[in-house]
Amino acid sequence: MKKFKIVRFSAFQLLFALAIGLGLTACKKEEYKPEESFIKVYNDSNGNRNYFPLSIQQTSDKGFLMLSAYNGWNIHLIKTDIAGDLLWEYDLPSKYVNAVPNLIQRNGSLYFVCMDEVGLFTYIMKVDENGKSAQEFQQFQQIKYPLYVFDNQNAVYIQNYERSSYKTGIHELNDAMDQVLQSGSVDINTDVEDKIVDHINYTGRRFPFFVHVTPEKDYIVMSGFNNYSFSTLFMDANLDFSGVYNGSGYDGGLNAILPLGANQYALARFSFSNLYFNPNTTLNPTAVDITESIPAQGKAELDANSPVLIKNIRIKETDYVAYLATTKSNQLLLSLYAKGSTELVASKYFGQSVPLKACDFLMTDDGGLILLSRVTVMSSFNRCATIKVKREELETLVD
Amino acid sequence: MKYLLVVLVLSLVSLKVQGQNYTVHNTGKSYLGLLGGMNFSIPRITDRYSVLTSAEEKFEKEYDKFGKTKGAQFGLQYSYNFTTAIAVLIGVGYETLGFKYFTNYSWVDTLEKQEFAREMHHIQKISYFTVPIQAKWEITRGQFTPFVQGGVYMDFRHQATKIIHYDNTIDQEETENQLSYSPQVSIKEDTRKFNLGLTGGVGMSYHTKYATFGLESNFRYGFFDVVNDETRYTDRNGFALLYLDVLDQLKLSSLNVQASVSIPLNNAVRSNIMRKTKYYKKR
Repeated sequence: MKKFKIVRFSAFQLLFALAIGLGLTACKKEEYKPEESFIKVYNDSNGNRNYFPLSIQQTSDKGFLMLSAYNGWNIHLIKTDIAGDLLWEYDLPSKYVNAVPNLIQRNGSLYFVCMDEVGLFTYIMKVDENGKSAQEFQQFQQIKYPLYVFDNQNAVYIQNYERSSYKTGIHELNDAMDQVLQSGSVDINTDVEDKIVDHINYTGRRFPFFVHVTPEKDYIVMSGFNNYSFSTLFMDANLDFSGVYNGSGYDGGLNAILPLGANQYALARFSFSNLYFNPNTTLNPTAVDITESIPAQGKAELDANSPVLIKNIRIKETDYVAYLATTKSNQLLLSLYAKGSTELVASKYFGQSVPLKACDFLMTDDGGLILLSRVTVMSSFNRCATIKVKREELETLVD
Repeated sequence: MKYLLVVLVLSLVSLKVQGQNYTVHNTGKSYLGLLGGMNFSIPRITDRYSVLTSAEEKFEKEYDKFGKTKGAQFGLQYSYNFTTAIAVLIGVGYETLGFKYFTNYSWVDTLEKQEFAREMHHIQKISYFTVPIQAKWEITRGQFTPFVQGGVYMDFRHQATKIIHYDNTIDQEETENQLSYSPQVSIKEDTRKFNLGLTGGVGMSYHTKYATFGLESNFRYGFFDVVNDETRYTDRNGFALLYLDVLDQLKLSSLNVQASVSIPLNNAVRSNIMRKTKYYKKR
């Protein structure tokens, strides 16, 4: 009987020890940080608003600033906190229209490029985070129809369409962004203003304009209209024409490019409704060729008419080339390739039964990734959305 | 009328407790019991999260009031009486808890004169294996005796599910002629595996020579978070964007009512725990 009692009380003790042990384990769990991972949709109960996000940047307070177009060419800014919750939003006055990708960061401030509603010339706007607005910083009357802006922290380049001379222009600004240092252009030889108007009003095809500078800073590579086609152009450091990969009329060309150095590029190209990736290919900056000749792997599930973003990202001290694209079923697809190779390391889909469209992405200060997307809420309303992927999830992807 | 009924029942119980023919003598006896009943969950929201964010409004979920979320529990219970009054109880059971909330959103298109409204009723159920360890004090020694009990419990999550009922009329009710349903999905990974809490309750026991019958009500106070913060936005079910829904952080308590029947072990029947009261007036 005595022995029985000992066994019984040991069982109690074991249970209490188990309870305390499990309790301590539960208490020891690391503190949850809501900013590490989130999905946010920036609501507007005004049902006649239709948003198209363009660019996202992280701000000095670790929050995010988003640049969007709404109802065509109107401009909207959203500022969030670190956890993605909306702090303020701002509609620019109607004279400022056609914001172009991307937001640019200089000396701790954010800027973007847009157009005058009547004069069609270019403004550089400075975001005023304290005033929860944006102010005119500079205007360039000679640059009509701005289409894209690129900042490599050394110089700022603006691509535009010269409507009177049917040219695609490229303009290099000085460090203070108050003067045009030099300009270059290529002939389109035909009037493409109808395409440009559809592009900037979101009433037709959005062409994937881009500008990049090679790491050696010897060439500017950009996509734009040239010689009756949508082409990929190489301009030398003086902004003189160097080489071209012509698209198939206006139905082929490059969606996106990332110069890797030494004439190597990661790129996405389209031909009609087909999309192709090559994360490591050689392009000759003095060639005159066609984009269809660039070898690339077809991506049957991806939508060629949606934006494709290609950026460098760093996970666990290793560099990857990341592609963000939209599937034909309106999911986002993130593909990671080993830098300097065509090896697909990992891919991940985002979204299931709600239409998403890839718009931008960037690595965050905490080693995570934030995706900017357009989401069609309740099958009806196009809104801006962010999806934050935490660092650990990225690390798991590449392990 | 309701109060009169309560007073009558209490008077009868009181008479029954005081005027009993038998007293219970079960010191050192063990019982094995079967119990089951229903419960009402009480969520305590600690942190709120939402997918939609706006400068004008906070999209906070509205939780159903107490009594709206019913669950059930059943289990086995071993008890050992140190004295006639004091016993220790260890059980193993299975319980279903839950919580409900509703959300609503609307958009108005002033140009095209279109409106769109969506009301969603979110129903979550979580099942746990539960291990309560309690001390019990039977207040009298009679055949029919009230008792109080209290202790700790451990919950081990077994499964968790979620379904959303939705309609297009914002009235806080499920509008039958518009009602649609999401698929029922598992939210097991979105809930935490373990919980620990305090439990305490009151009840009545009716002892016989062959079995003890009980009716009790317990309050269970969960200490730990129920929702797994780490998987909140992984959106494995696709509900985050489709239904604009992620779970808040909360702790779960519950109030249960259950009946039990216990049979004596270790020769208790032969040793006759029920003895005539007139021979044992004093404890």
